Amino acid sequence: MSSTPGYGLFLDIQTTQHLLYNRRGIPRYVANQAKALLKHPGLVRGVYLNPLRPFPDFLDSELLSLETFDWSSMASFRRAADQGPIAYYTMSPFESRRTSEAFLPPFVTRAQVPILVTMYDLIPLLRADKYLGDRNLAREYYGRLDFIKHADLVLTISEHTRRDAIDCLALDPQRVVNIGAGVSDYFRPAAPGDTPARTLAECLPAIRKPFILSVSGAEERKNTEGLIEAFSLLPPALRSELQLVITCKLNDHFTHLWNYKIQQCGLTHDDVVMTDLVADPVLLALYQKAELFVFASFYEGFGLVAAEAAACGCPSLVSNTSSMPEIFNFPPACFDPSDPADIAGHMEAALTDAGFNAELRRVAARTAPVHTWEAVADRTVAALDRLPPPTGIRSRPSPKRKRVALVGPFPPVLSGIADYNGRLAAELSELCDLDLYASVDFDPRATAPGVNSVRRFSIDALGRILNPYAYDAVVYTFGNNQHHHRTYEKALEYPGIVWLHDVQCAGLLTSYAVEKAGPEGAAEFIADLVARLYQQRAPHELLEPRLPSIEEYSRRGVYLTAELVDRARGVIVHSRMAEHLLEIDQGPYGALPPVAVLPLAAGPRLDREHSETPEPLLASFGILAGSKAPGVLLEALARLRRSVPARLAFVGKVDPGFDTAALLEEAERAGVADAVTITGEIPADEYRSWLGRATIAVQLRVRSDGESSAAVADCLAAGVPVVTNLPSCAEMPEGTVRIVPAEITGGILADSLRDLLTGTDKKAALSTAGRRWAAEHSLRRTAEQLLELVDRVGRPATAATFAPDLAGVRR
Amino acid sequence: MSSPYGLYLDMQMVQYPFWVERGSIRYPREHARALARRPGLVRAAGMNPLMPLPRDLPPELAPLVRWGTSTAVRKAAEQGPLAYFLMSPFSPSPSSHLLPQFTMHPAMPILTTLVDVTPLAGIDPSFDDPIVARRYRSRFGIVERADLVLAISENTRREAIRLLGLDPERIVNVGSGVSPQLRPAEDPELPARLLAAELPELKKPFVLSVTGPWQWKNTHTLLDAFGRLPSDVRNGLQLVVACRLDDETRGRWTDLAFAAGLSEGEFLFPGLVTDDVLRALYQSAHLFVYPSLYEGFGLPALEAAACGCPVIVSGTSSMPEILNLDAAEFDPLDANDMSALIERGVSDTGFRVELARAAARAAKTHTWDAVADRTVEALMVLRDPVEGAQGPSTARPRIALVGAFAALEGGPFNPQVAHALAAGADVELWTTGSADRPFVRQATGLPCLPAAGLGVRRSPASYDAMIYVLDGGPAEGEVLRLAALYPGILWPQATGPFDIFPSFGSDRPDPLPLGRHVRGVVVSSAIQGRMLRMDQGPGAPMPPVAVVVPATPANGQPGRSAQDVAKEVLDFVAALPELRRTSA
Repeated sequence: MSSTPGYGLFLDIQTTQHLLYNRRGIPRYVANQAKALLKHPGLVRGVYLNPLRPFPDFLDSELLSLETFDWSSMASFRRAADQGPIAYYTMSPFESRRTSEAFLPPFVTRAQVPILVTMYDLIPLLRADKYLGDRNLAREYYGRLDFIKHADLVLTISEHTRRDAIDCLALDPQRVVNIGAGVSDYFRPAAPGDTPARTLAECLPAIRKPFILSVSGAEERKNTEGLIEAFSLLPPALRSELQLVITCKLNDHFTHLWNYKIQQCGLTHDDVVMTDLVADPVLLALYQKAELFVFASFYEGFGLVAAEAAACGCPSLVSNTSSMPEIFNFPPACFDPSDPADIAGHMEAALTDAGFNAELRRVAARTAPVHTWEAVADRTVAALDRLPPPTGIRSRPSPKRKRVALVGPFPPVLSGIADYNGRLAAELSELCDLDLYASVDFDPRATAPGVNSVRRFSIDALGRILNPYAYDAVVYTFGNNQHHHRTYEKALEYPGIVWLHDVQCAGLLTSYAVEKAGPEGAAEFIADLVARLYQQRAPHELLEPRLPSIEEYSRRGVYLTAELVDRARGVIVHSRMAEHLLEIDQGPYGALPPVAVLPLAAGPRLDREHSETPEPLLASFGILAGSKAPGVLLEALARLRRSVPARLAFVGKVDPGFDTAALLEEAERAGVADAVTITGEIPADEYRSWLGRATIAVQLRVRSDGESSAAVADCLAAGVPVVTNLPSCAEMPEGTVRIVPAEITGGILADSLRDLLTGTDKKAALSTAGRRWAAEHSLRRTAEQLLELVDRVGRPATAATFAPDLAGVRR
Repeated sequence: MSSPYGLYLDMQMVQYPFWVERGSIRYPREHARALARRPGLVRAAGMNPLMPLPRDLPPELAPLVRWGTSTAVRKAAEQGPLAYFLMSPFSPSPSSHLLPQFTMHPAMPILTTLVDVTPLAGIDPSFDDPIVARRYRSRFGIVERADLVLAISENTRREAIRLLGLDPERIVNVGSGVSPQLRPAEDPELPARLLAAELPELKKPFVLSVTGPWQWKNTHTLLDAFGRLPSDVRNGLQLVVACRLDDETRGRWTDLAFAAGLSEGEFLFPGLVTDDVLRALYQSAHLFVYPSLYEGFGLPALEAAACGCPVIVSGTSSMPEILNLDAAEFDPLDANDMSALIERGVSDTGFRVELARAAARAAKTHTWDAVADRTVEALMVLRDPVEGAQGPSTARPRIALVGAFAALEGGPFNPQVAHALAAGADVELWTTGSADRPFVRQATGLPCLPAAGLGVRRSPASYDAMIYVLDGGPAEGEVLRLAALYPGILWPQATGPFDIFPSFGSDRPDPLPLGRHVRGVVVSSAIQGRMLRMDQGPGAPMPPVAVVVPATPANGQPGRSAQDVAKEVLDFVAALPELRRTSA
C-alpha cells in the first residue's frame, strides 16, 4: 500500500443505480473497486449515489453499511471536502443520460477539484456507424468523451484501452493510467464440499455432457456466431462428446440469429445450450465444471469473464484482439476471432493436447493472483500521484459562498411576491451564488430590475436539466393563490426551504385542485386532502364536497400546510403568530423544521416633508377590500370630525369584489362623504406622494393569519406614524406602531387617533421608531437571515437532535 | 394580585359546535379570554387533539392554543407551578377525555367551574333517567374531587354545598360577566333595521324572553302570564321567545299560547337566532322577562340588561343576584304575579326608569374582568405549591405500546424488555388482531387492552408516547393505521441491517411511512437508521431516530440486557418533548 495520498476521493457510484444490469459488468467493477479503495485508510471520503435516480435494488452490503454512503449533494460534498483536499472520481462516465447536472454536479466543476474518471472501452466510438446512429445518443456520447478529455486523470481497465484513449482522444499519455481489473474472490476452483455438478443438474438440466463454456452477450461484437461455427468445425468424434454452453442475457433477435446459425452449421439444440442470464452460484458452477472456456469477442475493454473462468481453474482461450491478450499474457492461448478455423484449432488443441491443456491450467491458476482488486486499488492510488499536489490548486468548494436557488414569481410578473422576490434577488446575488427559477410566465428575454445579472430558468428545468441537490438550498416562495402550483409540486419533490408569505395554503390548494381534478372534481379533491391531513381533527363542514372560502378555512383553523411542512428542510414565515398557527396546524405531535421569522422588509427610506396641517390626513394604504375594515375607518372618521376636521383617503387598488358604492353610501349617511377619497389604482410616484402627505396611516384587518403588510413596511420606511390592529405588527418593538385591539370598533379607533392627532410628540416618536425599524429590517438584512437559515438546515444533524447515529451506535 | 400558579385551561368544550346552549360555551370562552388578558397567568389553552379546532378563536386565546396532550401539560408545568383548570366538567366529551390520568399529580391542583346543580335540584324528572343520572354522577364526581370549584353564582355555591356536600372553603363564587359586544345600541335605527330584515313578523313593541325547551325554563307560565295581561296592554305588544326549538316544543308552545288566549301574530318563536339578531332583540325589546324556575346564573337576563333593556326575573335560585333589586322579581309559579309585574314593566314609567338603572348597574358589576379578578383571588385559596411534590414535569412517563404481539419472543421487544420498561414507566399494551390477551398480560405482566378501545376508552393524548411495535405480520396494517391516527414512535422488530429498507430485498411490502405521523423511530442498528434516512431521499427531513441494539441472544450484542434496551427506549421518549423540531 502506498503512502497516504494527498487527496481524499469522492466516489460517484451511480452506475449501481441501473435497474437492469447492476449485478454484473461495470456496476460490479465499480462496487469491487470501491470496496478495495476503502481498504486504504483515509482515502475514500464517501461513496455517493445520484439523487435523481432510484436507489439501487442490489448493492454490496459492505458499501451499504458504510457510514459515508450517501446521496450526492452539495451538503455531502461540502462535508467530504471539509476534511481536506478532495478529488472527484466519476467511476463510470457514460451514466444518466437524462440530466447532465446530475451526472456531474455543478458544485464539482465550480469547486475546480481534480476529476478522475474510469474508461472501460471506446467501443461506441470505434464502431460509431453501429452504436452512434441516433443523433441524440451521439451528442450525449461525444459530450461525455469531451468530459473525459478534460478530466485530470483517466484510469483505464487495460493497457489496450489506455492506448485507444491516447490515440483516439489525443490524451496526454501522462494523464492516462492503466489500473486493470480484478477478479472477485467469489470465483475460485471448486473446494471440497462444493457441488457444482448438482447445481448444474438442478438449474441447467439441458447440460448433459462435458461442455465448452462461453459467457457472451447479445451483441454482434461478442462474435457468438463465429464461436458456434468454430464449435461445428471440431472433429465430429470430439464434438459429439461435448456441448457448447453460451451464457448471457438473451433477446429474441439474437436467439433467432444464433438458432439459425446452429442449424446452418449442422448442429442441434442438444449441441448448443443457451442459458440466458444465470445467478452467480450457477455461473460459478459453470466456470468450475467447464472443460474449456472460450472468449471469442472481437473487442473488449478488458474481458473480465475470461479472467473469472480462469480464476475458477478453467483452461481458457481468448481472442488475440483489443485487450484480451493482456488477460493471460500468454500468446498461445489467443486466437484470431475472425477465423472460425483458428478458433476451432485452438479449442481442439486445448482439449486433446495434454501438454497444452496443462499449460493452460497453469496459466489459469496464475490469473487470480495477478488480477486482484487490491492491485487495482494500489494502481489507482499510485495514479493519484500524477495529479498536481493539492496545495496551490483549488480542491475544496468555497466555504462561505452558498449556492442557492430561489423559486417563485419574478418581475415582470405583476404580483407582490414577484416584486419582493426581484428585490430580494438583487440583494442575495451579492451574497451567494444565486439561480432563479420562475414559477410562472418565464420569459428568458425579459429584463427587470433585480434579476438581470442572475441566471434564470423556468421552474420546469429544476430536476430535469438542473440538479436541485447541487444547491445548499432551494428556496420555494409561496403565496396563497394559483401562481404557485408548480412550486408546490417541486417543493414536495425536492425538499427545500419553504417561504410561506401566507401560512394559509387553502387558496393555493383549491386552485391546484381545480387544475388537477377540474371544476367538477376539485371539491372532492380538496375534501379528501382535508380528511387525509387532519383525520379526526377535520371539521366535518370542510369534508363536504364543496369549495369553501379561504376565510372559512382560517376561521376553522385549517391551513393545509402539513404536506409542505412535512417535506420542508426549513420554513420562513412573517411573524411569530404565523409560526404558531403553523405549529398548531401540524397537529399534536407535528414537528416543524427550523423556522425563520422574517417580516417583509421595508423598502428604501423615503424622505418626506410633512408639516402639521389644520386638516390632518388619515390614509389607509394598499388594496381596498372588505377585509381591511373600511367601515370601521368611516365610523372613526365620523366621530373624529366632531372635534377635528380630519380627512380620510383609501390609497391603492380596489379589490374587484369590493362594493365601493356601498362604502360611499355609508360615508354619505355618516355625513363624511366630502372628507373621503378613494384613489383606486395609481402610479408609484403618486402612491409615494400620498405617503408624503399622510398624517397617520391606519392599516386594519378584519382577521389575520400573521402575515405582514407591505403597506405597513412602506409607511415605516417613509416615517408615517402607523395605527394598526395587525397581529404581526404587535410583535414589533413597543412604540414602533400604535396597536389597537384586533376586534376594533370605530369608537376605540377614534379615541386612539384623537390621542395621536393632538400629540405632536407622539406622532414624531412613532415616525422615528418606524424609521428605525425600517432601517433595521432592510432587504439586505433579510437576505442575510435567509442565508443563516440555509446554513442551519445544511448543517448535519448532531447527536443532540437524535440523528440516526445516536445512542446504541457509540456503545 | 398575582397567582402562585399558572393556569392550564382545558377548553375542549368549545370544540363541540352543536353544544350551543348559549351560556355553556360562552361562559368558559369569555372567562378564558378575560384570564388570558392577565399577563403570564394562562400558560396554555388546551384543545382536544381528537377533535377539530373551534371556529373563530378569539384573538386573546389564539396564541395560547395548544393541543391538549400529556406533553403540553408537562411543558406548561416546566414554567412553574401549574393548576389545571377544567373549564367545563359537563362538556359532551367522553369522560375518558376529561381529567386523564396525566392530570393527576399532587403538585398540580385541579380547578373546575360549576355552572349549576340543576340535575340534583329535583326540578326536572328527566334527570331521574338512570343513564342520564349516571352520567351526571360521574361529572359531579369530578366537581367533588376538584381542589377548587368556581361557582358562577352565590346560589350555585350554596346549592353545591347543600347538595354535593362540598367543603365551603373549596368553592368560591366568581360570578358571571357579559361580553362587551352586548351593549346599548348607539343608534336605535341599526337594530331596528336588522330586525326588519331578519324577523319581518315583528311589528309591534315586544316583550322578550330567552328560554329553552325544558320544563324548568317555565315558558308555559310565561305564555299564561302574557295571556293574562289586560287586553289594552297586550294588544300593543308582541311576545318573543327566542331559543333553539324543536318542532314538538314549538307545537306545544303554540297550543299553550292559543290556550292562553293569544292569537296569531301576538307571539313569535323565531327559534335559534344568530348572535347579531339576538343582540338586536335585546337592544330593541320593550321588556325582558326571565321566567325560569332554576338557573345557575341566568346569563340571558344579564345580557338583556347589558343591552339597556329593562329586565324582570324570577325570584328564585340565582336570578335575584343579577339585578339585586327586589322590585324586579316575581314568583315564577304564579302566573298572576308574573303577569302583574310584566304589566308594570311595560307601562309604569317610574318603574321602567328604576329597572333601567338596575340594568345599567348590573352591566357594570358583572364584567368578565371582575370574574377574572375573583378567579385570581380564588387561587389564593389553594395551598402553596409544595416544594418537591411530584408534578407533571417530574412524573413517570406513561407509555402505550401498540402491536399485534403475536410472537412475543425473539424480537427487540419481548417480555423481558416489557418488564424492564415497566420499571421506569407506566406501560400499557394495546393489541390489534387476534392476540391472546390473557397470555400477553401474563407473559409481560402489563395491562393489555384491545386496540379498538384506543381513543374511546383512553385518549391517546394521555400517554407521553405511543410506541407502535411492527412485527411485519398480517396485523401490522392495523398497527400502522393507528399510528397514522395517533402519532407515535415506530419500532420495527426486524433486526437485519437492511430489513428496514423497503426497496432493498426486505419482506415489508410497502415503505415504512415516515411522514408527519411519526414522532420517532427505534431501529436496531446504525445501518438500519442510515438506510431509513437514504430511503427518504436526499435532504428529506427525518423524524428522530434512536438506535437501540436488541438484547436478544440471536442478534443482540453480548452483554446487553433487556434493561439496557428499556433504558434507551425510555431515554428516547423522555427526549421527545424537546425535539419538537426535526433535524434537517
